[in-house]
Amino acid sequence: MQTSKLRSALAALILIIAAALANRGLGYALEPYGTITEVIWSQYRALEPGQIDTLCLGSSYAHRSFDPAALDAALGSASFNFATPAQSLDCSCEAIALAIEEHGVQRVILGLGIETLPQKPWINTYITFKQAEMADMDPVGRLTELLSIPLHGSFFGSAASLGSFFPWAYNHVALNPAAIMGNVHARQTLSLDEAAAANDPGMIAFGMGYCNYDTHLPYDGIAPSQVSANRWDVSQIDDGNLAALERILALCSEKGIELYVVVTPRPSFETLGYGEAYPRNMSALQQIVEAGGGTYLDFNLIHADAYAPLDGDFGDPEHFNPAGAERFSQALGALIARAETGEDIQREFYRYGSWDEYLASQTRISIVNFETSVSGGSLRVDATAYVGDPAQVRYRFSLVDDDGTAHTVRDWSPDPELVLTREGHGTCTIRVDARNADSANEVDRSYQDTVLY
Amino acid sequence: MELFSAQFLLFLCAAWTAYLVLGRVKPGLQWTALLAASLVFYVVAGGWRSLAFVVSASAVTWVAALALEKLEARSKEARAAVSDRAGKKAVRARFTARKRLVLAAALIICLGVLGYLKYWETVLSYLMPSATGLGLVLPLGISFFTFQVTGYVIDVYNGKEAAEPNLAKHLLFTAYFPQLIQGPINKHRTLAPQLTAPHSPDAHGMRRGAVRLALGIFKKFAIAIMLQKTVGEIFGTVDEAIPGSLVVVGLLAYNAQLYGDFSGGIDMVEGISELFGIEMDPNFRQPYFAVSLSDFWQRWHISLGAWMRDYVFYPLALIKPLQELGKRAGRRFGRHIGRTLGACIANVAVFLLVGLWHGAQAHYLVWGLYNGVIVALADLFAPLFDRMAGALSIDRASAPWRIVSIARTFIIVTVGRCFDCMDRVGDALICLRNTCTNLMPVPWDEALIALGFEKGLIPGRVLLCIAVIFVIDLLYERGIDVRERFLEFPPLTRFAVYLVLGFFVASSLNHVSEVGGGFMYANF
Repeated sequence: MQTSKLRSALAALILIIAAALANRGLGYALEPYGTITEVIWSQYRALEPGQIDTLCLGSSYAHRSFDPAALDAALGSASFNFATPAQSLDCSCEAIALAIEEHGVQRVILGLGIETLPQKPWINTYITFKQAEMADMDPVGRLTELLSIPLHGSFFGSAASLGSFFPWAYNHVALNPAAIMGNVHARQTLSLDEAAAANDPGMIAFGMGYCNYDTHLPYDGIAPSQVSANRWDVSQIDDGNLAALERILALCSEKGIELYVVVTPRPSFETLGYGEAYPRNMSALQQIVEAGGGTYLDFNLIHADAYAPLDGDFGDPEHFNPAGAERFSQALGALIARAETGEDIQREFYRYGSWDEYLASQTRISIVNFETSVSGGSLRVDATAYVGDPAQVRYRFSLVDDDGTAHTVRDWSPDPELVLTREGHGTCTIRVDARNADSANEVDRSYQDTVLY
Repeated sequence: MELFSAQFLLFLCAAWTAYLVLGRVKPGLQWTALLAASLVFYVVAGGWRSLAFVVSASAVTWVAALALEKLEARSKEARAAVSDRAGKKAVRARFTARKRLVLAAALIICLGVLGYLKYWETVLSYLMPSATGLGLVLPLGISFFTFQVTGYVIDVYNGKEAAEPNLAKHLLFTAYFPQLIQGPINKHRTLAPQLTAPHSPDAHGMRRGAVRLALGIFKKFAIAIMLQKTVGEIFGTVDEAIPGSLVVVGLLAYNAQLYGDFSGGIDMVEGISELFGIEMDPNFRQPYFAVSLSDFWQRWHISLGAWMRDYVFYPLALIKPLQELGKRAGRRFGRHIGRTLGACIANVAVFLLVGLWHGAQAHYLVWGLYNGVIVALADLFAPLFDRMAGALSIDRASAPWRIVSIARTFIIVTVGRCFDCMDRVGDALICLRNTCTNLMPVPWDEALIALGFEKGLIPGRVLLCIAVIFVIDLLYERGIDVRERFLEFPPLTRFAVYLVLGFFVASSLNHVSEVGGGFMYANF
């Protein structure tokens, strides 16, 4: 009886070890080697102690906004961009503590957006961050960190807690033999930087943690589903994020570190899309930051004479391209330098309490797009122009042939809605042009899409 | 606290250990470990407010059941003291009236709370569309535990059940944690004795439970979760342009999603319960192999169907006005109509109530009405169908006819699902119309691109998982106990199967981050 029980226990143990090995093998084969997060961590580890005095953190908003070289040139700092894709605030907090301990950083710049506090941490990017962090830990430290993931407050009660034992389930290469073999081959033959370059040929690594993509935002092709306000629910702040932000504020305050919480600039349609939620949510964030001793700077609300991003500065709706990040970092560095000489820089920004002033300043149409619905045999087109005062906008609607020829259905008018009568069912391509009533341009912005009716 | 989480796993391990230890140390008190675990689960998953509701429902029905039993005992005593028949009848009538009062009070309190929390907001929105919502939040599992305890009180009233003298034991019956999220609605006579009886570890029973739990996780994650986003996107914004072909794919996907979610969730909780040696009432029996709609409803959400049958259908079908109506109809339209008309009307009422149980929104009521009317018509016209089958020389016992019947039932169920999965009746009607008039307006790939489905609709591996579940259900349908057969496999084969299932579950986890891991029926 005893022998039989022992045998069963041994068999179970062997099976558990086999399952763990299979899991590890899947991780080796499927988890992409050479992620941005791994590269940033490896660059951070290569720093000499005390080499940096300024740490930039946050999610991709921050990662693709802070150009350390440009910032340092304007501020006279030695900065490192430790922001990683979808970095959660508690990961930012950990990174700050680490940089204080290892480098004695004196200045922290935390970049975020309106979505940062409401969005729960994402398990996939959290795991990637933790794995990169664990890479040079001893086995005990690694095990401790590994077990801390399922116990994290944001994941403990959800499937993500158990899922954290299967990181390949969240981050994996394309599930085809060529991609898997390529990943295994890269692990065996390439350095981290080489693998990163091979994985993501569009990525440009600038050093000091910073990398970016040289793309340009197509303002005439932004669908409603691409506007952040239509993608993210910002109605409630996540308690875990709020607690992490408060920990960051307390840590910086306790260590006597200057903390700048910077809302990174985005094209104005991103801000305007949130409507009244933007000043409401962000003024609450400003109060939290300022009560905790941080300096709060919302660069979406900065006066145009202090800094104004160009259309060509953005790579996509939420991120700068390298040129944009460089211009922004110069402006940020200059502003922080002024603040640190005791100058009041808050007067350079519109206030949330006087939102109308901000709206009045947004005279250019940022983008236009439309949505359609079909009812009673009619195709209804609802256009939206993102601008401070929509009443000044004029719209022109056209149907576009297969060869691209546009036929105006209704010429310029202030009416953003159009109803088309259609026979039967099929598809058609619609184009909406928009211009301000007093614009010198024939068309300010356009949007075209093929829709079903 | 989701069922598939580290939190629940730790909770389960703690509860299970406490249960086994107490079972060894003090078998008579083993059930208290379950009670403590259930209360902890309820507080963690639903909060203190939810706990207050479940304790209140339990207390009200406990008092009511004891009062009913006491009244019955006093009625017997009083009748024994009276010698004449008329006197006995009068005593019985007097006590029956009192019992009715007690029963009505208990039902009004329990169902009133449920009705207020579940329906008042919707009713208000119909009455005063501009009024702001009251922000009423449904306590976890209230529809399930309310039906369970009201069923118990009615059974005590009818003398089918003895009242539980111990409040704590009754609370355990009400709040037993595996049943709280989405049922099943257990019968007191099957569940309560198991809950309070001592259980020692049974390796085979636990293995069976573990297999069921694994199968449930597979259904929920590898199928339901994987389809959730697709179904949501197809039916999220419906207008007249939606191609009928997309509606068909969406409804098929919804069928699979709902089955994976609900039956998967039930397999999970039943499997968890079996780890404690407790078997809950069944809730599914291969529903997609049903040969008629009424057969389907005896295989899908069985415990709700049984509740409705026992506490609504029979009492309603036997009320005098319906009996009278049946007699009159029988005299005029024949014996069959006379015998079935009352039951048909009761069926329509029952399905309307089932619709209402899902929610007070119009689409649920239409869905209930649709099911009720079809079941009723099938009963009413049964002789006609028999004659047609005879005229066409159809052998209704043959395998081909069975396949045709299964396919026909599937289509009827799927059409009904249209009213279930869409929030507006108008949208459902548009979808149904377009499956007839606008099936494929433009090439399929062109339509998908225009609707934003560039990456396709349903991944091939989900279809593979659906096929696996189909085969398992087919084997069960043929009388094979798949779990038992599986446990006879060599350990290495079982391990390999678990690994493959685990791979499919793990690779769905990324989708859980997007759509959440809750159960669809947890909202009811």
